[in-house]
Amino acid sequence: MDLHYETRGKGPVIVLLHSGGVDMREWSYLVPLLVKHFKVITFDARGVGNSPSPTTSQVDYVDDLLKLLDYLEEPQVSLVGHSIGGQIATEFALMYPERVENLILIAPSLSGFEYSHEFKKYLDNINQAAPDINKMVDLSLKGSLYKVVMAGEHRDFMVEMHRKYFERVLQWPAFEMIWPAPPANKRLTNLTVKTLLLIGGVDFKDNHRVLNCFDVASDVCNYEIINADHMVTLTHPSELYEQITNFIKE
Amino acid sequence: MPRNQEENERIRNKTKEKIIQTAMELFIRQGYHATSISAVANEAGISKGLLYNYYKGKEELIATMVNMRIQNVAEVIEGARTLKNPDKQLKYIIEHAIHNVYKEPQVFRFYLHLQTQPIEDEVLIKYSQILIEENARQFEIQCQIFEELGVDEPKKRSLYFSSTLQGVMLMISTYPNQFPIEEIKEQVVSEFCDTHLK
Repeated sequence: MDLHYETRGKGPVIVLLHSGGVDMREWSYLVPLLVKHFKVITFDARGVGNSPSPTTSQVDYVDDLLKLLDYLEEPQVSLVGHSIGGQIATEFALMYPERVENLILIAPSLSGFEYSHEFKKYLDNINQAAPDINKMVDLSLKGSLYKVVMAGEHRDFMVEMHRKYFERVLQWPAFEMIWPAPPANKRLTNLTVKTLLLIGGVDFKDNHRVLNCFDVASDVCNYEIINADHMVTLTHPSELYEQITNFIKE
Repeated sequence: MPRNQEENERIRNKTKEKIIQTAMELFIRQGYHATSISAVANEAGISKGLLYNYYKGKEELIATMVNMRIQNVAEVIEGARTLKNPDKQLKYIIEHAIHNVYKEPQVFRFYLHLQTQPIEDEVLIKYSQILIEENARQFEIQCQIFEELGVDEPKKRSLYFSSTLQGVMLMISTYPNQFPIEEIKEQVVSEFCDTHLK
């Protein structure tokens, strides 16, 4: 287990999976609240933050999570996954439901989901700017999904994390991302774990559309945090804390 | 932000492209030996460490360029061979060869220069030979076209064709703004393609 992680607090275990474009520091404001009741584990995904870049030709983020939990000897946890972290958490809950007590997804991405032309175009513009990191960061953060965070006090922190992230991405070797098949959007009827879906009200509309895919799952609650964008973790930690603790205590 | 493998590939390819393009500009401007890896990284706006992430060193840059060149040259001949008539194939070669030089005369000069390196330049002579061998391979295919055209002594005719075309290309790259490209192209086409239609 070579991933960088941190454990804080005592109590039921919560594992936080960060979004793409940032590292585990996006949890800096939520963790101090959660540690009052929980044992909180945060980690950097492979190739991000302080975790090593892929050294093999294939990367399996779901298996990385399994190895982390086995290494930490945690038989059952609550998962909180943001964006691609939510995608990983969803796949994990589908594959190892017995290991997941609660599944909390914040604006998750979803394998198999067809993103809009507009969103693909947005990503493509960013990728086209490589290797000019300044331009990549600039184009990316101009996206409507970052409008709120970029107008607020966490702007510099966001820019810094984003820059670090792209610096790492540029260093990645060529590798294949392994996701379970068929894609998760075709298997959500099998999702049995108690699930809470959270999203910022002004997050990109594709991210709102992803949430609709979870309608077919058996035990799902929704909550929208008004006036938050994709970086609800930075801008609205107290609201997240309240929703997460209420949901877990239920 | 969902990210997937294709996007990462995209970013990687874009970065590689930028490095090669920058290195090529510097090699053209100041020569291979006078260009340092630091200068390439600097000009490309990336760190030296990142450059080494993609290419082992300066020699891998020139090796990549030579491979790309070989591919481009091969594409012209392969493109020509998809046409039915040998005269059309020759016309295709003439047009594409001339167009490529016209588009980037400095690139043509760069590879021509690489092909004529002093024998004691131990680094570059390898790539010089690779280019020369590849040209010879393309020449063999071109000879087949002349055979199919049914001319007397097709090999000799093919050699004359190459000499003419290479001369035209050298002239364009030397005098890119003054060379009457279209008129000369027409002459070459009528000399090698039209007369044998009959």
